[in-house]
Amino acid sequence: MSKVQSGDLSKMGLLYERYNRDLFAYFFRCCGDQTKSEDLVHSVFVRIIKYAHNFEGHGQFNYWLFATARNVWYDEHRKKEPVKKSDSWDHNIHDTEAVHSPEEEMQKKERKHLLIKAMTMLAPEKREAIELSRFQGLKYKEIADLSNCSENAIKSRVQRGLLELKEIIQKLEN
Amino acid sequence: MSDSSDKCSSVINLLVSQLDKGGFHEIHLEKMVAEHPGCEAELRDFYKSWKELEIIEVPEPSEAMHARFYKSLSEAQTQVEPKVTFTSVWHTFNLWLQNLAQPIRWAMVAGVFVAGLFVGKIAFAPEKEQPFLVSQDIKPAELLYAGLNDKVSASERLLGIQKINQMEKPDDKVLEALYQVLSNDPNTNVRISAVESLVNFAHLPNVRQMLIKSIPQQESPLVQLALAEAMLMLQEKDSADEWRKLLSSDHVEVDVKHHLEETLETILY
Repeated sequence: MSKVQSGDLSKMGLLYERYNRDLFAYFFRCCGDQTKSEDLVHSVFVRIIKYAHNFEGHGQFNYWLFATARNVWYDEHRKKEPVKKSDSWDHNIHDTEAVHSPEEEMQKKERKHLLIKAMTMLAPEKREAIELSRFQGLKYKEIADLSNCSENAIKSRVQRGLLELKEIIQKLEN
Repeated sequence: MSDSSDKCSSVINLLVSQLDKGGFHEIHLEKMVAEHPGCEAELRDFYKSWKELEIIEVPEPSEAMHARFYKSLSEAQTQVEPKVTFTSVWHTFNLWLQNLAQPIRWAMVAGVFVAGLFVGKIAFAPEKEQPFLVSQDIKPAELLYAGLNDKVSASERLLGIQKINQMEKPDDKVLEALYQVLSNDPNTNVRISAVESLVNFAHLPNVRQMLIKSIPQQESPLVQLALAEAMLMLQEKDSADEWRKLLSSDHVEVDVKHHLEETLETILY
């Protein structure tokens, strides 16, 4: 990253290769739309190319990356209506299905479907706390820093978020 | 919320803290359950919800996303090419020198003088000059050829192409390497970058012919579209026959065919 900051953009390709999938997964779990997630990944890297000099050089690069991703996500939703959920998720669930025994597969698919719907119905700050800690390996302290709140608030979001997720799934099942 | 849930809330809070530390497994859960038997159900439920999130599968991002990024990177790199002038180098050196203590400053000046004598001697020796210039030109081409044999990664090949883009007048060997990449490289992004790089040098002899010759060899829709846009930009009517052959072959998907015909309208008709 320090080489990118000093104007050596050729190293940006290496950063992209290292992080593009994580970033894509982050957006995909937020909105469930492949095309939109790819657009957002592109926006993040364009910002990083443009504002590389703002990276302060301390802390992990992925922390700064997700802070940028978070801003891109919120900018996107300031402009537009909330994310459409089920349609795009349905489409992508079928795209990523692996084929197993029919009954098991059906149950797994239904459960996955419920879980995905429930995730998108969760409050954004809770979903984000779960996503960043569960899938992107960020510590609560790091999530707290980039969310401008306390570590305890993030812990509470993860805790409440998961409990709410269970409740939403139960409601959807009934 | 029930009494037991209230009571177990602080135990779940402990579990949430443990999850943040990483390396939490079933065995650790069992230990917590043994320590807090009254909250067994709550602990197991919570951990199940945490683990279950794994079943959400994420697809692979498309090749188009990668191609789009490398295109933006290539554009940014051409714009932000650092201009190293004698004045800027002297200014930086002068500032640095001023920050040093007096004796170190004089030692540095003497050191630079002696180094200058050596550099001068080497630089003005005629037999040393040629290999330096030749290796500077050949290196990216060698990188690209190595890529065709899977000896270097796609990122390194893309860097090789970026280096070629910075050359004012690449020699035939470099251009031939770009053509080979466009015709044979296994990676779509690398082939698209080769198209863009060759377009930069379309004023040089043979480059347009290289682009035209590569048309029938492309099976990737993204590369076909990149080539079509390049031909449109260059208004290369000599490419019409190759496009007609490609469009009548089985190598073009129906949607892409329609798009190509629209793009190439001024060239084909």
